[in-house]
Amino acid sequence: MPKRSSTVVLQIVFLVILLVSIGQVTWWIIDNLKYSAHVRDSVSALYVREAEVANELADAGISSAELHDLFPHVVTDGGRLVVNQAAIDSLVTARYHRVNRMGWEGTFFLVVLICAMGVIAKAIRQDSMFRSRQRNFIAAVTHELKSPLASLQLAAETLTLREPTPDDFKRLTGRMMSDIARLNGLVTNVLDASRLETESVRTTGSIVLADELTGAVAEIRDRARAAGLVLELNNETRATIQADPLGVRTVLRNVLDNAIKATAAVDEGRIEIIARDLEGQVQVVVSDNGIGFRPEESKRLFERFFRPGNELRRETQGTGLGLFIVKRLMELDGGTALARSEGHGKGAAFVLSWPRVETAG
Amino acid sequence: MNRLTGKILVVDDEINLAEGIKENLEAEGHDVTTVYHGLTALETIRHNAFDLIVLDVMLPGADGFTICETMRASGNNAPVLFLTARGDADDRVRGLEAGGDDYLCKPFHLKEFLARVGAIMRRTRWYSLGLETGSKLDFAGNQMDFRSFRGRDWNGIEQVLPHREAMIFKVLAESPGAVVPREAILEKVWGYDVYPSTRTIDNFIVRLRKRFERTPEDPQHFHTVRGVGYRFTAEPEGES
Repeated sequence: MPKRSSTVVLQIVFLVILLVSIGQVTWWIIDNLKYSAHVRDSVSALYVREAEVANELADAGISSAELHDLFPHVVTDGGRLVVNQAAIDSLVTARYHRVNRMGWEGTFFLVVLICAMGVIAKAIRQDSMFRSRQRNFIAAVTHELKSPLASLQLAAETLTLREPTPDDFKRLTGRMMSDIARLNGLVTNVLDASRLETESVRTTGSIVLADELTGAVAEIRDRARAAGLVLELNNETRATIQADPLGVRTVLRNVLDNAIKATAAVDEGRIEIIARDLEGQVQVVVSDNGIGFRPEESKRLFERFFRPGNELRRETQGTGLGLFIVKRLMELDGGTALARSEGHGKGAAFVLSWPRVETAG
Repeated sequence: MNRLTGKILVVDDEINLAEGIKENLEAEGHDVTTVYHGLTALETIRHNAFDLIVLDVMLPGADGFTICETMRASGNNAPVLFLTARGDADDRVRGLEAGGDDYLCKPFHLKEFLARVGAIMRRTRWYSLGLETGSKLDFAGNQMDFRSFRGRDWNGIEQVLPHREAMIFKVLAESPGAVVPREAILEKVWGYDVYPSTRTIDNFIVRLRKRFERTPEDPQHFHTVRGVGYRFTAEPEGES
């Protein structure tokens, strides 16, 4: 909450500075208009006075050549000395230039000021968004670490405290294995995410995507069955891609894991996985009928620590790292990752595209 | 030690954990229902009576604090044991303010969890035990029904007491005229771990006075015995 109020204060301060500056610039311009008009009028009055003095001197017998030297702004017109119109015109032009310059400079100053304020406000907003996301991340990681730990401890203590039958033993150890797998997944994700920030040492090789996909789907089949989900895999292509094998495995695992989490709370959850060849690209499309997301969140889903909704009401498990890792790894392989959903509760589709490598024959 | 058993609802979206808790509570002889979603939990609580609700805080649909507040607002006084990964002091306080009876952080020790469940069950049993013999109390024009948590003051105004206030009142009313030490109140009303400060009990006493005393600033029934505890007298009795 203090975050929000400080943003409001900042906005008010910016607005005040902006208003004061606009006032200042307007005042400059008005002041200059007045001042330059005053200068123009005074100087033209002086010229007129000069012409009168020159006429008096001419009447007194001073030669015209001498007078022109003394009064440069005076010309002879029909036997009388008058103010040179060009001198008056140049006064008007000088005033126009001065006011014009003030106008441009003032506008430029205001534009620079507004831009600077915009940049600062944006930086502050991004910073506070990042901070709140990081807080959410800490909360999510705490939850994601402590939940399987609590379950592990409970199972282990149950084994010690009670006298388990062989069936109990099997059930409890099975549960422990699934908790360990979950902890392992989390630790891997955290490490992957930090590694992606620092290292770029990777291997690349030719991969038949369909094989990797079959392997990744096999890994989650048990979990999907336990959660009562229907998994459908359609390998429509055996195309080859050039990518980091470990990276591809991580990408597929994270996207599939995501689909399982999204469908966990849905009746008759269903995940459809398709590998296909499309316009020079090899695509994997993972669509589910799970909780989905708001269409405007489709880009932010791939940002680090982003998790839809608030942390007290955890609609799904996770830390906000999985999809960030997916996007980064896809970029490193020259591919793209996209997310689509019609809205909350309407399922989602994740599209992974790699450029296809043409194989001989 | 005779075992107290009852109907327990376990709300946790971590299926492994919920099932583990269920099996252990069942092994202790309790009748356990598990629910994995906040909204389902609200629905289940609305339609069923439980002797204890073990409630996770971070839940899909509705968080644990909201669930607890909602059930308390609708007059459901079933004890709630919060079980959560969020262990900082703010969260504990928030949980107790929401109307929770106890708070346990994940990961927890099974024996400690079972001990706390046992303690909560004993407290509720104690509260409901006395009710069979005498659940109603009349004093100086006031009436209190401990079963329904409702009373009527000397002015005829209906008073609905929160869970803890009723429990404190009951502890005092069980031994009229005798000084009840603070520790006894803490033990019976709060259990063994989540001791509130002395001021908290004071605040409850102040609220009871406001409800039932004709002159709350000069109490005739709810007396403070400085440094020791509190004393309730059915007959008006000025401070000595």
